[in-house]
Amino acid sequence: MTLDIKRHRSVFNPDIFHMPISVIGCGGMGSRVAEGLVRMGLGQEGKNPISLYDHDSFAMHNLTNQWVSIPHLLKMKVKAVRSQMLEINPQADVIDRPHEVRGEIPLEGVVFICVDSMDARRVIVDEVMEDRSRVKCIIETRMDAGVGISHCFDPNDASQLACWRMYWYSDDEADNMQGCGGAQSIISAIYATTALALKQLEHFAVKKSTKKMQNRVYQDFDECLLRSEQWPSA
Amino acid sequence: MLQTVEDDILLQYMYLCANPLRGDAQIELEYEQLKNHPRVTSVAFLRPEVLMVQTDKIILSDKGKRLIGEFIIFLIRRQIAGYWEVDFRFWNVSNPILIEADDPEATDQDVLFIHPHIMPAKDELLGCANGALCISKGQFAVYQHMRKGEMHLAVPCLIDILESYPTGQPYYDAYEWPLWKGEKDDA
Repeated sequence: MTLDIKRHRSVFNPDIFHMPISVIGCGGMGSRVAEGLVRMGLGQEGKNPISLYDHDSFAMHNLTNQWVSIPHLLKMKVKAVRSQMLEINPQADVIDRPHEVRGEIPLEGVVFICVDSMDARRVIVDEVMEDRSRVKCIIETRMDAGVGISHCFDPNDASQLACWRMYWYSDDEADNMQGCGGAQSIISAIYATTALALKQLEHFAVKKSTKKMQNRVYQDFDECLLRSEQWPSA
Repeated sequence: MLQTVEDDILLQYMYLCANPLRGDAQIELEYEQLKNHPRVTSVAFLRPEVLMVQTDKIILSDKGKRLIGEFIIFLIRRQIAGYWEVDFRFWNVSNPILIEADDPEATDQDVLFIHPHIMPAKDELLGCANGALCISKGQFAVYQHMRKGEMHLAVPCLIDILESYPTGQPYYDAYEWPLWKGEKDDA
């Protein structure tokens, strides 16, 4: 059985998307992003394989927010998410990496950063991706119960990287704020932020570039407010 | 043409507030907006990464309108390894309250209070006595503005905070500052 994608092929055609995809962090955001990717028809062997990174296991409290069901509790998140992805598309090429992302296997293509700390985001961009020449697009998400943010940029573009860094802040600062994997989250916010991130992937796939697209999308769920920003390119 | 002090401050301001999302003309407009804020009396630089904004009298809107004094707000923005570090500090230039140590021979030291909710501190970054405001969650919005070089938006937030009286235990009680009775008291 193959996944029937006729309902969205004209909007997003995974058959012509030739780039590996990595999802770093398989918690609230990452597991939903992974679900979205496989439902979009991505994960095709030789074209757009999906790698999942996370060193954690699913716990009982994850049932409310993350893509997990009771039979998968206590399993490594990447194993459980991969297993559920294969239930949707048994042919999907999904590689589970049950550890933190490290530099041994260079990241390439599209990288979703869905981790829950600001420091981890910085380490991934600056250290893990020290050689980022093969990464074409980073999609980095932040959210809490009231706010969702998705950044989409080319880390090899100095100007876009500078813009992303301007929106980086420390975890201490994040404790006092909204929008960064805060302790408070709810499924509505996760779905909405996942939608922002996957839409940015669609736009990147069409343009084959992060130029001339909305690179930062900010949504205040309670105020029903959406703001976006196009970042200059070097 | 000779460069005036004002030109020099503007140039430093444009350097301090550099942002890939905004051009020089926009930053210049924002500088004018900051200078023209009704509560701002002057703008200067302590160092290239430290902007000083002086305010007129800060009067607490609560606690029977206490005259706290005129402030200098220090806004610090510096780039380290591509990332922006931002912070802010305050100094009360006209009406701080000095509490002298009971026993000058002992280890006790004089303490200067500059605002009910500003922690007395000596700051190595600025090299002078100053204070860090206890504003808890309010600081995130201010930091966001500062990180983007939007000092014209950060300063009004900070002035509003100085004039309000947050709940919680103050470092020094507002009632220790004099009551504000209007401009005629200034004479």
